[in-house]
Amino acid sequence: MARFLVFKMEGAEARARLFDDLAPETCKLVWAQLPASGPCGHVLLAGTACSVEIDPRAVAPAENQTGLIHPGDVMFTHYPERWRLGFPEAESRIAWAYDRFCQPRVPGRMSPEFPNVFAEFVGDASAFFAACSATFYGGRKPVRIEAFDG
Amino acid sequence: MRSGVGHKMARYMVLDLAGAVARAKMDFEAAPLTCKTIWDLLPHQAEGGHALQSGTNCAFHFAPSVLIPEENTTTQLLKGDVVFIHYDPRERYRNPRGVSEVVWCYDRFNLGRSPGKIHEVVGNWFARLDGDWSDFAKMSARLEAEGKKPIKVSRLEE
Repeated sequence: MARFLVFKMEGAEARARLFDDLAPETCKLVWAQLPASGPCGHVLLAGTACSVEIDPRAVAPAENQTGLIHPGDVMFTHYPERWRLGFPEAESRIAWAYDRFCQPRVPGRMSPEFPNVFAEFVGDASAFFAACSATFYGGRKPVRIEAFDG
Repeated sequence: MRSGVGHKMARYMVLDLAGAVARAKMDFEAAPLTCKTIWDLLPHQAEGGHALQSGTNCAFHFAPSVLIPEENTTTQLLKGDVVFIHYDPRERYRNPRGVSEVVWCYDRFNLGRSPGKIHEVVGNWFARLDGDWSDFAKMSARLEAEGKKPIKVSRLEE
Protein backbone atom coordinates (compact mmCIF):
# COMPACT_ATOMS: atom_id res chain seq x y z
CA MET A 1 0.00 0.00 0.00
CA ALA A 2 1.07 3.56 -0.58
CA ARG A 3 1.91 5.58 2.47
CA PHE A 4 0.97 9.20 2.91
CA LEU A 5 1.70 12.21 5.04
CA VAL A 6 -1.42 14.12 6.03
CA PHE A 7 -0.78 17.83 6.56
CA LYS A 8 -3.25 19.85 8.62
CA MET A 9 -3.12 23.61 9.12
CA GLU A 10 -5.74 26.32 9.71
CA GLY A 11 -8.56 23.90 8.87
CA ALA A 12 -6.98 22.90 5.56
CA GLU A 13 -5.75 19.40 4.87
CA ALA A 14 -3.65 17.80 2.14
CA ARG A 15 -1.95 14.50 1.49
CA ALA A 16 1.51 13.72 0.19
CA ARG A 17 2.50 10.28 -1.08
CA LEU A 18 5.80 8.92 0.20
CA PHE A 19 8.48 7.87 -2.29
CA ASP A 20 9.29 4.62 -0.51
CA ASP A 21 11.01 3.35 -3.65
CA LEU A 22 13.17 6.42 -4.37
CA ALA A 23 14.01 7.60 -0.87
CA PRO A 24 13.45 4.61 1.41
CA GLU A 25 15.69 5.67 4.27
CA THR A 26 14.26 9.19 4.36
CA CYS A 27 10.69 7.88 4.29
CA LYS A 28 11.48 5.45 7.09
CA LEU A 29 13.08 8.19 9.14
CA VAL A 30 10.25 10.69 8.69
CA TRP A 31 7.58 8.03 9.24
CA ALA A 32 9.13 7.28 12.60
CA GLN A 33 8.81 10.95 13.55
CA LEU A 34 5.05 11.09 12.97
CA PRO A 35 2.87 12.61 14.13
CA ALA A 36 4.92 15.76 13.93
CA SER A 37 3.74 19.22 14.79
CA GLY A 38 5.09 22.69 15.33
CA PRO A 39 5.01 26.21 14.01
CA CYS A 40 4.91 26.29 10.22
CA GLY A 41 6.33 29.22 8.33
CA HIS A 42 8.45 30.23 5.42
CA VAL A 43 12.00 29.09 5.07
CA LEU A 44 14.55 31.88 5.13
CA LEU A 45 16.04 31.72 1.64
CA ALA A 46 14.17 29.25 -0.55
CA GLY A 47 11.11 31.21 -1.67
CA THR A 48 7.67 29.64 -1.81
CA ALA A 49 8.26 26.84 0.63
CA CYS A 50 7.15 26.24 4.19
CA SER A 51 8.62 23.94 6.76
CA VAL A 52 8.41 22.48 10.22
CA GLU A 53 11.31 21.38 12.37
CA ILE A 54 11.60 17.85 13.65
CA ASP A 55 14.02 16.26 16.10
CA PRO A 56 17.47 17.57 15.07
CA ARG A 57 18.90 14.12 15.74
CA ALA A 58 16.90 12.81 12.78
CA VAL A 59 19.44 12.23 10.01
CA ALA A 60 18.94 10.58 6.63
CA PRO A 61 21.56 9.78 3.98
CA ALA A 62 21.57 11.70 0.69
CA GLU A 63 18.70 10.21 -1.30
CA ASN A 64 16.77 11.35 -4.34
CA GLN A 65 18.33 14.80 -4.07
CA THR A 66 17.74 17.75 -6.36
CA GLY A 67 18.10 21.50 -6.41
CA LEU A 68 15.26 21.84 -8.93
CA ILE A 69 12.13 21.87 -6.84
CA HIS A 70 8.61 21.69 -8.23
CA PRO A 71 5.38 22.68 -6.52
CA GLY A 72 4.20 19.84 -4.36
CA ASP A 73 7.64 18.42 -3.64
CA VAL A 74 8.21 17.45 0.00
CA MET A 75 11.79 17.69 1.20
CA PHE A 76 13.95 16.61 4.10
CA THR A 77 17.03 18.56 5.11
CA HIS A 78 19.48 18.13 7.92
CA TYR A 79 22.25 20.50 8.99
CA PRO A 80 24.88 19.11 11.35
CA GLU A 81 25.94 20.97 14.43
CA ARG A 82 28.53 23.74 13.79
CA TRP A 83 28.36 23.20 10.03
CA ARG A 84 26.94 26.61 9.08
CA LEU A 85 28.31 30.07 9.77
CA GLY A 86 26.06 31.83 12.23
CA PHE A 87 23.73 28.86 12.72
CA PRO A 88 25.69 26.50 14.97
CA GLU A 89 22.78 24.36 16.05
CA ALA A 90 21.85 21.09 14.35
CA GLU A 91 18.58 21.16 12.50
CA SER A 92 16.32 18.64 10.78
CA ARG A 93 13.39 19.91 8.83
CA ILE A 94 10.51 18.81 6.63
CA ALA A 95 9.81 21.41 3.97
CA TRP A 96 7.42 21.55 1.06
CA ALA A 97 7.04 23.77 -1.99
CA TYR A 98 3.56 25.25 -2.20
CA ASP A 99 4.31 27.18 -5.40
CA ARG A 100 6.89 27.15 -8.15
CA PHE A 101 9.27 29.83 -6.89
CA CYS A 102 11.44 27.64 -4.73
CA GLN A 103 15.23 27.44 -4.87
CA PRO A 104 16.63 26.03 -1.63
CA ARG A 105 19.71 27.58 -0.11
CA VAL A 106 21.50 26.87 3.13
CA PRO A 107 21.21 29.66 5.71
CA GLY A 108 24.66 30.68 6.85
CA ARG A 109 26.57 28.88 4.10
CA MET A 110 24.35 30.63 1.52
CA SER A 111 25.11 27.79 -0.88
CA PRO A 112 22.58 26.00 -3.06
CA GLU A 113 20.91 23.19 -1.20
CA PHE A 114 19.95 19.76 -2.50
CA PRO A 115 17.26 18.35 -0.24
CA ASN A 116 16.05 14.76 -0.20
CA VAL A 117 12.74 14.82 -2.07
CA PHE A 118 10.85 12.03 -0.41
CA ALA A 119 7.17 12.71 -1.09
CA GLU A 120 4.83 14.69 -3.30
CA PHE A 121 1.42 16.18 -2.70
CA VAL A 122 -1.43 14.39 -4.44
CA GLY A 123 -5.02 15.43 -5.06
CA ASP A 124 -6.29 18.93 -4.41
CA ALA A 125 -3.89 20.65 -2.04
CA SER A 126 -4.94 24.17 -3.01
CA ALA A 127 -6.53 25.10 0.33
CA PHE A 128 -3.51 23.88 2.25
CA PHE A 129 -1.14 25.66 -0.11
CA ALA A 130 -3.16 28.85 0.33
CA ALA A 131 -2.76 28.51 4.09
CA CYS A 132 0.98 28.07 3.58
CA SER A 133 1.17 31.19 1.42
CA ALA A 134 -0.78 33.14 4.04
CA THR A 135 1.94 32.55 6.64
CA PHE A 136 4.13 34.97 4.69
CA TYR A 137 1.85 37.86 5.64
CA GLY A 138 0.24 36.54 8.78
CA GLY A 139 3.11 34.76 10.50
CA ARG A 140 3.64 31.17 11.51
CA LYS A 141 0.73 28.84 12.20
CA PRO A 142 0.62 25.43 13.87
CA VAL A 143 0.87 22.51 11.47
CA ARG A 144 0.40 18.83 12.17
CA ILE A 145 1.67 16.00 10.01
CA GLU A 146 0.15 12.56 10.49
CA ALA A 147 0.82 9.14 9.00
CA PHE A 148 -1.76 7.46 6.78
CA ASP A 149 -1.61 4.03 5.12
CA GLY A 150 -3.83 4.21 2.06
CA MET B 1 33.31 62.04 5.21
CA ARG B 2 31.05 61.52 2.23
CA SER B 3 27.68 61.37 3.93
CA GLY B 4 25.79 64.58 4.09
CA VAL B 5 27.96 66.42 1.59
CA GLY B 6 25.89 69.27 0.18
CA HIS B 7 23.93 69.53 3.39
CA LYS B 8 24.89 71.32 6.56
CA MET B 9 23.59 68.48 8.66
CA ALA B 10 23.46 64.75 8.16
CA ARG B 11 20.11 63.39 7.13
CA TYR B 12 18.56 60.24 8.47
CA MET B 13 15.52 58.08 7.91
CA VAL B 14 14.05 57.16 11.27
CA LEU B 15 12.44 53.74 11.09
CA ASP B 16 9.90 52.85 13.77
CA LEU B 17 8.97 49.21 13.30
CA ALA B 18 6.25 48.28 15.79
CA GLY B 19 7.98 50.36 18.46
CA ALA B 20 11.56 49.33 17.68
CA VAL B 21 13.39 52.36 16.36
CA ALA B 22 16.52 52.72 14.28
CA ARG B 23 17.95 55.39 12.11
CA ALA B 24 19.62 55.08 8.74
CA LYS B 25 22.13 57.67 7.64
CA MET B 26 21.46 58.71 4.06
CA ASP B 27 24.35 59.17 1.66
CA PHE B 28 23.35 62.08 -0.56
CA GLU B 29 26.72 62.13 -2.27
CA ALA B 30 26.74 58.50 -3.36
CA ALA B 31 23.04 58.29 -4.29
CA PRO B 32 21.67 61.83 -4.62
CA LEU B 33 18.57 61.05 -6.69
CA THR B 34 17.60 58.11 -4.51
CA CYS B 35 18.11 60.06 -1.30
CA LYS B 36 16.26 63.13 -2.52
CA THR B 37 13.32 61.14 -3.86
CA ILE B 38 12.93 59.19 -0.65
CA TRP B 39 13.53 62.21 1.58
CA ASP B 40 10.74 64.05 -0.22
CA LEU B 41 8.37 61.12 0.37
CA LEU B 42 8.80 61.24 4.15
CA PRO B 43 7.05 60.91 6.51
CA HIS B 44 5.60 57.63 5.35
CA GLN B 45 3.58 54.85 6.94
CA ALA B 46 3.49 51.33 5.60
CA GLU B 47 3.87 47.72 6.59
CA GLY B 48 7.25 46.14 7.17
CA GLY B 49 7.57 42.61 5.85
CA HIS B 50 10.25 39.95 5.64
CA ALA B 51 11.94 38.97 2.40
CA LEU B 52 10.64 35.82 0.75
CA GLN B 53 13.88 34.35 -0.53
CA SER B 54 16.61 36.95 -0.03
CA GLY B 55 17.58 36.06 3.51
CA THR B 56 17.88 38.34 6.50
CA ASN B 57 16.30 41.49 5.17
CA CYS B 58 12.97 43.28 5.39
CA ALA B 59 11.23 45.95 3.37
CA PHE B 60 8.52 48.56 3.26
CA HIS B 61 6.83 49.81 0.11
CA PHE B 62 6.15 53.15 -1.47
CA ALA B 63 3.58 53.46 -4.26
CA PRO B 64 4.87 51.50 -7.26
CA SER B 65 4.77 54.72 -9.26
CA VAL B 66 7.86 55.86 -7.35
CA LEU B 67 10.66 55.45 -9.90
CA ILE B 68 14.32 56.16 -9.30
CA PRO B 69 17.03 55.53 -11.91
CA GLU B 70 19.68 52.96 -11.14
CA GLU B 71 22.24 54.73 -8.98
CA ASN B 72 25.05 53.48 -6.76
CA THR B 73 23.87 49.94 -7.42
CA THR B 74 25.07 46.71 -5.90
CA THR B 75 24.02 43.12 -5.49
CA GLN B 76 26.20 42.69 -2.42
CA LEU B 77 23.94 43.40 0.51
CA LEU B 78 25.68 43.60 3.86
CA LYS B 79 24.30 43.83 7.36
CA GLY B 80 23.10 47.41 7.92
CA ASP B 81 22.75 48.28 4.24
CA VAL B 82 19.60 50.07 3.06
CA VAL B 83 18.71 49.94 -0.63
CA PHE B 84 15.92 50.96 -2.96
CA ILE B 85 14.56 48.37 -5.39
CA HIS B 86 11.95 48.79 -8.10
CA TYR B 87 10.13 46.21 -10.23
CA ASP B 88 8.01 47.36 -13.15
CA PRO B 89 4.45 46.07 -13.42
CA ARG B 90 4.30 42.79 -15.36
CA GLU B 91 8.08 42.51 -15.36
CA ARG B 92 8.19 39.39 -13.23
CA TYR B 93 6.67 36.01 -13.94
CA ARG B 94 3.42 35.62 -11.97
CA ASN B 95 4.28 38.63 -9.84
CA PRO B 96 2.65 41.27 -12.04
CA ARG B 97 2.40 44.12 -9.58
CA GLY B 98 4.87 46.94 -9.65
CA VAL B 99 6.93 47.39 -6.52
CA SER B 100 9.00 50.27 -5.17
CA GLU B 101 10.54 49.23 -1.91
CA VAL B 102 13.14 50.17 0.65
CA VAL B 103 15.01 47.13 1.93
CA TRP B 104 17.17 46.95 5.03
CA CYS B 105 19.50 44.11 5.97
CA TYR B 106 19.16 43.28 9.65
CA ASP B 107 21.75 40.50 9.62
CA ARG B 108 24.56 39.27 7.41
CA PHE B 109 22.82 36.49 5.47
CA ASN B 110 21.52 38.25 2.37
CA LEU B 111 21.25 37.16 -1.25
CA GLY B 112 18.95 39.56 -3.02
CA ARG B 113 16.74 37.70 -5.49
CA SER B 114 13.54 38.84 -7.11
CA PRO B 115 10.38 36.81 -6.64
CA GLY B 116 9.16 35.47 -9.96
CA LYS B 117 12.26 36.14 -12.04
CA ILE B 118 14.41 34.48 -9.39
CA HIS B 119 17.43 36.43 -10.50
CA GLU B 120 19.93 38.47 -8.59
CA VAL B 121 18.55 41.81 -7.46
CA VAL B 122 20.37 45.07 -7.99
CA GLY B 123 19.56 47.74 -5.45
CA ASN B 124 20.34 51.44 -5.18
CA TRP B 125 22.47 51.59 -2.03
CA PHE B 126 21.59 54.88 -0.38
CA ALA B 127 21.76 54.56 3.40
CA ARG B 128 23.15 52.56 6.25
CA LEU B 129 21.70 51.75 9.65
CA ASP B 130 23.51 53.80 12.24
CA GLY B 131 24.07 53.69 15.99
CA ASP B 132 22.58 50.97 18.20
CA TRP B 133 19.88 49.28 16.16
CA SER B 134 19.94 45.92 17.92
CA ASP B 135 16.31 46.12 19.07
CA PHE B 136 15.26 47.08 15.56
CA ALA B 137 17.17 44.09 14.19
CA LYS B 138 15.40 41.78 16.63
CA MET B 139 12.02 43.16 15.63
CA SER B 140 12.94 42.78 11.96
CA ALA B 141 13.87 39.15 12.49
CA ARG B 142 10.50 38.58 14.16
CA LEU B 143 8.68 39.46 10.95
CA GLU B 144 9.67 36.11 9.49
CA ALA B 145 7.74 34.25 12.18
CA GLU B 146 5.03 36.78 13.01
CA GLY B 147 4.17 38.37 9.67
CA LYS B 148 3.97 42.00 8.71
CA LYS B 149 4.02 44.82 11.24
CA PRO B 150 3.41 48.55 10.88
CA ILE B 151 6.33 50.83 10.19
CA LYS B 152 6.58 54.61 10.40
CA VAL B 153 9.40 56.32 8.55
CA SER B 154 10.27 59.92 9.27
CA ARG B 155 12.99 62.51 8.70
CA LEU B 156 15.77 63.52 11.03
CA GLU B 157 18.48 66.12 10.49
CA GLU B 158 21.27 66.67 12.94
